[in-house]
Amino acid sequence: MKKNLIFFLFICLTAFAASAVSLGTQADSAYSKEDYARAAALYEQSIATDGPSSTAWYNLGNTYFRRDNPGKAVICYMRALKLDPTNEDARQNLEFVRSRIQDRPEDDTPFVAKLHQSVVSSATANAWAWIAFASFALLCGAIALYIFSRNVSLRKTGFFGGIVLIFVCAYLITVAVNAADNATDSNFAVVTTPSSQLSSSPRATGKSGDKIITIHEGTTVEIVDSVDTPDDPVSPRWYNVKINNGTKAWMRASDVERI
Amino acid sequence: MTFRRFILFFVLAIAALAAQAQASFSLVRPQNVVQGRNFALTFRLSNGEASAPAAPQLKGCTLLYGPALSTRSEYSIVNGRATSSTTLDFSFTYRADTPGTVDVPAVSVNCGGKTLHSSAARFEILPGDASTSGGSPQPGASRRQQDPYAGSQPTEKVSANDLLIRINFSKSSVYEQEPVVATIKLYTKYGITSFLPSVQPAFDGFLCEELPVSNEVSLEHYNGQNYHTVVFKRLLLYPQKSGRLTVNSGEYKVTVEQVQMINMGFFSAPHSVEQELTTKSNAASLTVKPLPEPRPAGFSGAVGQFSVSTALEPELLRTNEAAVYSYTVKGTGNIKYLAEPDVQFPAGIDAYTPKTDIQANVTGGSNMSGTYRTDFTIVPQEMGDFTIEGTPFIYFDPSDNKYVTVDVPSKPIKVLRGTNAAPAVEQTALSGKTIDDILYIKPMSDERQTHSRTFVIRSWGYWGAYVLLVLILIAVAVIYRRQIRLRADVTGRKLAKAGRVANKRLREARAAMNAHNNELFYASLAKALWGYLSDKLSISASQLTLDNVADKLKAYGLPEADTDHVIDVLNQCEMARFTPTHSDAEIAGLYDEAVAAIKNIEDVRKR
Repeated sequence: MKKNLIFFLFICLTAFAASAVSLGTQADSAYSKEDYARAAALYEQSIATDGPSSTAWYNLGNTYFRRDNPGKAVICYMRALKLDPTNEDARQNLEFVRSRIQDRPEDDTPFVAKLHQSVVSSATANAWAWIAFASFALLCGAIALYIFSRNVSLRKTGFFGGIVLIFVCAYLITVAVNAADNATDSNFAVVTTPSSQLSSSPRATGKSGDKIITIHEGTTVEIVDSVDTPDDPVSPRWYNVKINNGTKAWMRASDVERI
Repeated sequence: MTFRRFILFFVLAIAALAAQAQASFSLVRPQNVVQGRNFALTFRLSNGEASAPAAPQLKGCTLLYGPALSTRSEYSIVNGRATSSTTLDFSFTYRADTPGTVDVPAVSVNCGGKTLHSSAARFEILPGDASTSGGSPQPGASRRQQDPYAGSQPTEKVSANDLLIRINFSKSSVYEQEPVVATIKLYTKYGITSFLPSVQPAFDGFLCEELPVSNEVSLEHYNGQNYHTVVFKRLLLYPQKSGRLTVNSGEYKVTVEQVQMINMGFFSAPHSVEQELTTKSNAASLTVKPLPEPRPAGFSGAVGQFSVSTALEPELLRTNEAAVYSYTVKGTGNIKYLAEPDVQFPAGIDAYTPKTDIQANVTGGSNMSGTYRTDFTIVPQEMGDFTIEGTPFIYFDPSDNKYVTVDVPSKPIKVLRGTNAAPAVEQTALSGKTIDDILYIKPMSDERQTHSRTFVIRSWGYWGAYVLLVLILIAVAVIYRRQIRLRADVTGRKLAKAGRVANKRLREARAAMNAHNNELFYASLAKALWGYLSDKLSISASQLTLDNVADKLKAYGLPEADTDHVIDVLNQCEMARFTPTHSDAEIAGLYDEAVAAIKNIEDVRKR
């Protein structure tokens, strides 16, 4: 009787162990066997049930790239970077996939803005929050030094250090706020159809002159505005998007997927 | 060593003797003959004595005479060594009666107890010349006998049929690269004294390989005529393109010798007349079939039958020590025109430009066989286990009409550390090298997956922490300020205390006064006053004298009168302690004066 019970327990434990092989791990092994269709399905399922992670999006992006789906791959890498801007592998692969797609938007972001973005993306939002708080604590310390110290040189240090720290702290709080915005906002979208036509107005391009440009799969656009067009049979919603950091145009919402 | 040499010499000497003594019996190869002519069949016995063999029966021939014997002996001394040989010829004369092929059977003789056999042979009896216009001339020598006066006529014109040059292919249809033999043959009825090609036939579209020719004259029946023929050129050709390939006709300057009989009355004398002619050969053509499609990958034009072997010398490789990997193709076909094999060596093994060695010769008169060896000199640079991938050899077999792949096994090799000093390691820049692909996936277990994601900066608690920090700073600052102020005013504190202590003592004195306890009253009063002054004026107990007190009070800012008053009170207290009998009114008066004095001092700072 007791033996049977132990046996039953053993069976239960092994069953548990078997189920403990998570969807993500199964997906990894499917990927390593080059069964990309299965891997993609498993990664999607894993993200839906167990929740997303930067690694999960990154792996799914790799899978889509292997299945010749650069648009989806770009989306996945961008989502991976949204969750963890320090995921260097995702950044590298995103650069690689972007170098392979047809459109190469010119990057006219000013140098200072680029520098700021690279600072923002060098740590996670929460890490920046705590760094900002630490700098504020340091500022308080400098003020305390100025107030409480009797030594003149220490007081001077506290005074000037405090002045510097005010700016540092202000910048770090800005960075922390930006990092949190980057991690939550989804103003960016990626073209998922092989090509999409941008027009100057939110309607299908019928008349000549409406058409502005054609963009292709994998290109990233920034959504500025959206409008619902219930009369349009093709797309009930149009986005006003910004490409090349300057050109604004309307495109079908169905052609893109938000990050 | 010398013993060995001696043995060698002995063996050679015996062999020489044996060769000398070796009797041989053979048939002198019979030439073709023309019908109606007499011919001799000669058997030759070398280095032996035997009785004449029986005359063989030849089909279509009549034995006229035989055997006729002729003997020849030779004796020569070369380098001090004497050799002698004797030859015995048995000749049988036949007449060729009917045209056809004649088989000469093997004939045996008994020579010194041994039976020797000649080899069988075959020759042809050619039909006589078909009658041609103008009495076609007979081949030179016989014509003279037949018609000794023909020469008295002016020199006959040599007709086009009397002198022919023909180009023949051994096959009429071949595959590309499949060898074919071209023969250029001269057919003549006259003697030839010189022969010069003025225009050589051009073998365009072929790779040519000249074959040796024997220059042997033979009799051949062609187009109903008998000719003396000489093969003056044989070529082994490898067609390089498909289609119908034609060899243009060559042009030759031939000097023909004709014999003219000069009639000198009683006798006639032969006189040879030379005549230079220009003769054209025929233009021969050949159909070349293309190799069947599709051609397998890796096929590089080898046609024939081949086998492949590889070797590595030495087997044991060491770094920076050269080794030779040889790839040998052996077989029959266009061996001279094979492409160099493309052998791939693993990274870490340097291969130098291969060296090719071709050993080929003609076999069977119509094809070429031999070996095509490619030696790759390799120098391993790194230690470890490598594999030299076998490069398969693909050829087309024209006899089977199919492609054949010879698989070459891969060769695993092991490279050990070489004893040679390694050359200075060349540094390779890795900067420019990139793998043009995405990075590999990361294991999913590396990162926790979660649906809920919180941002610290969006929470009230985070900003509350800032406020808390500020509040703590302010609170600490306020408390600290007060502390500083208090610590900076220690004497002030004492002063403030002085009044309180004095009041306490004055109350004790007052209690003693009410109880009419005079002695206690004066003691308390004095103590109260002295204590107050000590505290107020910061005078230590040892310095507490009336003079000191007076000075300090003046310095404290008390007016002269008040100071005197204080001193007076102090004096009265001292005096009263030693004069015990005092009225209550006196005691009360002194108390009031002491209180007034303290009040005066207290009032100094308030003013």
